[in-house]
Amino acid sequence: MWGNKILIGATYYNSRTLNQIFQPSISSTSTKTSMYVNGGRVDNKGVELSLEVNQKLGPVDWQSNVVYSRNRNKIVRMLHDYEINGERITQDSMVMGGTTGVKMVVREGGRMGDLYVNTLKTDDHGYIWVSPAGDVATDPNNFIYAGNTNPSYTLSWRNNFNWKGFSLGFMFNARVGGVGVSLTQAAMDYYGVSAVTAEARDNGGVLVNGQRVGKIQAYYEKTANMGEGAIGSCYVYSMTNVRLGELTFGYDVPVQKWCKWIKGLNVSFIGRNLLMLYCKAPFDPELVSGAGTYSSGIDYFQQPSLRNLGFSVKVTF
Amino acid sequence: MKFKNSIKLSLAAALLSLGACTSDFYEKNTNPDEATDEMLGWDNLRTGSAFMQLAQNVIPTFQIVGDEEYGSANFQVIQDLAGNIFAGYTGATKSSFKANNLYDILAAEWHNAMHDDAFQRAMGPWAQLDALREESPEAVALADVLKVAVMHRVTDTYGPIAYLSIGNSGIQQEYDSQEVVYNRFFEELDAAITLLTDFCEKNTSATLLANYDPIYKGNVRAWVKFANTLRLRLAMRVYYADPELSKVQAEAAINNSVGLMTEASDIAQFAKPATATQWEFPLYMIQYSFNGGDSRIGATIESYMNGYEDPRRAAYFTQNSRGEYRGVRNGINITADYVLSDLLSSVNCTNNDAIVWMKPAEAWFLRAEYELHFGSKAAAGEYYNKGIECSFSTEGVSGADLYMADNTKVPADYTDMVVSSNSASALGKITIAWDDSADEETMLERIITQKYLAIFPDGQEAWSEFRRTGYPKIFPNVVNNQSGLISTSKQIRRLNFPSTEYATNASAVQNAIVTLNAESSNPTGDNGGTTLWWDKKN
Repeated sequence: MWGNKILIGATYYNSRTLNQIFQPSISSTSTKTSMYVNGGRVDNKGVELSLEVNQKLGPVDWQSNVVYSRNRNKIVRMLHDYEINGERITQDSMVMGGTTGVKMVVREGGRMGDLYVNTLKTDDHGYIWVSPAGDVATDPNNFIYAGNTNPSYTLSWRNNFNWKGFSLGFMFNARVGGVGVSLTQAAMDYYGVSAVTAEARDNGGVLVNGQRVGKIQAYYEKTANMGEGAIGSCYVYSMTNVRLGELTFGYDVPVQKWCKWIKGLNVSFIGRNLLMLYCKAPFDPELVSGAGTYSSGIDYFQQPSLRNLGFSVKVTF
Repeated sequence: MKFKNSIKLSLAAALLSLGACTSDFYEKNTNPDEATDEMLGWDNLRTGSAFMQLAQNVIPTFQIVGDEEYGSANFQVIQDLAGNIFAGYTGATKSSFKANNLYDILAAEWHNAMHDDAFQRAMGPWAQLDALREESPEAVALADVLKVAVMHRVTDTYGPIAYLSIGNSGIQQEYDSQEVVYNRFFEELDAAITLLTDFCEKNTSATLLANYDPIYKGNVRAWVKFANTLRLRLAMRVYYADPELSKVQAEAAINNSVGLMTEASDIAQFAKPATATQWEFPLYMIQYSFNGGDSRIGATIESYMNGYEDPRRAAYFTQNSRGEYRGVRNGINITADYVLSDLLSSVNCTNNDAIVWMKPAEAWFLRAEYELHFGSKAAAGEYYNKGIECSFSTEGVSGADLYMADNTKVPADYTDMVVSSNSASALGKITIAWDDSADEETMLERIITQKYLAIFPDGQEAWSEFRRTGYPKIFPNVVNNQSGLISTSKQIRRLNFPSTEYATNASAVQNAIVTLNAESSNPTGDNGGTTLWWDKKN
């Protein structure tokens, strides 16, 4: 458009996956641990939009590029009248992974990546139940929906400026929506080495229902329970984040002035994942702690976020 | 020309392979590393391997399952951090073990293991054997005895379990009340004992599955003795809930022509198989290897045995650095000092020891209790003394005569060697020597106390008998994180239904809670305070 000044791209997709293979855990009363089933229907639809602008700002070449993408996923159907050993079974939800307090549940009408967590016991008014002695209690088998680990949408914005052989580029990445659970944070709280527990100690209590409850260690022993046993609802975080994903700065050294047989010499500096502008989770939400389908969104001592600084020299003959 | 030929060749090859795609379907889909169904029919491998798997899981033993090592860690959560600590046989020494130690049962998922392992690891192979009932009824009868040996531990822990449906197809099963389960135990034992008694009376030297039997090497008479003793154990268990059933079943066990266990060599234990390249004795791993020791001996058994100056102490325990026997109490806030302390005793064992299922002395104490309830008090006293004698000879310890005549020694006060505020005065006042003039309750306390000292370290059974009879007097928790649900003085009566069952079999669990409450004398729902069906005395 206008001599390549503006480029617009749009993609829409709609896919339907039928009879996926699942391996859900089943009740031990069957004397078995799990079964393989083909079944269900999962729909995915999404859109990806891109906009690119090429513009001269005086002597500077400016190139700017925005990409927006979102995916919507829906588990339309699970098992209906599935036949196994001559018996017909219907199952509309399955626990696919997780820990004591966090479960990845695949549920009809839900989405892949739905996270369910257990909670502290609450009273009739919905407040966290606290015993007269100042103890909280677990409501162990009551799992509530915490959210989905997938983002509502992601956005990235890249800019490049070129001026007399100098180039400057930067890219911002944003991920909006999605929740995760941090068991690393729970483990830190359990051992009392996190900032949160220090704050509780300094103020003489943990904040529960807006009140300070003095039994700090007992509270964290119950809610954080060695990390892996943590009560999920106490450790749910928004995974929304915005970061400076990449920064490059380079210069084409006019080497031909001095040396005819070298065609070009470019030196540049590249930095990746330089600066987190917004992130409420105590971990990097873009990393996953395991390779399995159902391990994203659960941080349990996953790899630390990596910042990358590099320098390159490129010589062309 | 050459090129053309090669195209023709590859086309032909492609066609061939297309044809082969379906004709070799079964061959291609046969795992070359696994025995086929046909191969399992050779040399009793089918029955033998399933039987071996079942036996390995009566009490978890060391096994390699795929790439996973199974055994000691599961024994720890199934037995050592449950029955053993609840019975005061051992005391946890790792500070993070508050879950069961402080009655905070749901803090970890340990309460799942007993249930899920029994069903998946033991009842899976049993169901395979059940299918072979017509071709090898005797071997399957042995499997039925093991089934009861596994599952009574499970119902004694949770209450209602899905027992009658074991082996049925379907992925979710409903729970049966403990009363129904116990009645089925007796039916199954009766059928198995009848068949096996007949078998060994007719073929005195014949063995069953000798190559696959790590307990008795296929000696069917020994198995019948074990089965009879197990039946007597269960008969006594239901005494306070259904005395009539108790009497009938006890008499059937006692009057069987092969009889009960009587002497040291009748012991039922899973010994390290001769062919085993690897083996672990779980208590050794727990007390010596894990983190420098995850548990030590318990305060209650220490208090009784120190007070009685029991000669079996040296067989059961190691001495601390001062030459004493000192234990750890259940239900304390464990500090790091417990593991580090050299003033505590461990279970005296090696990593090659056998895992004991049932000691023969138990049979004598069960008979003593039977006589106490339904027979003569004098006979009860006689069997009581036989029980002590049998226990001493099983442990290879002398001095039983002197011991059983002692009518002055009482349990000793307990001193916590690490945190003195956890010390406690002895709760039990019972002496050792049988007294024909004592009242029936005192006699019962005497019998159960000596049985407690004889069957160490089967804490699961000791915990069940403590709940049933109230003996011995186990030190209560110092800290109770479930004080609203579990009474500190009455102590823990059961474990919660597994969280895995809540996740995968929710409606059946809800029904099971109704069943549990309906047969309980303290119906408070799915928690550690609800009493089981047979728990009717207190």
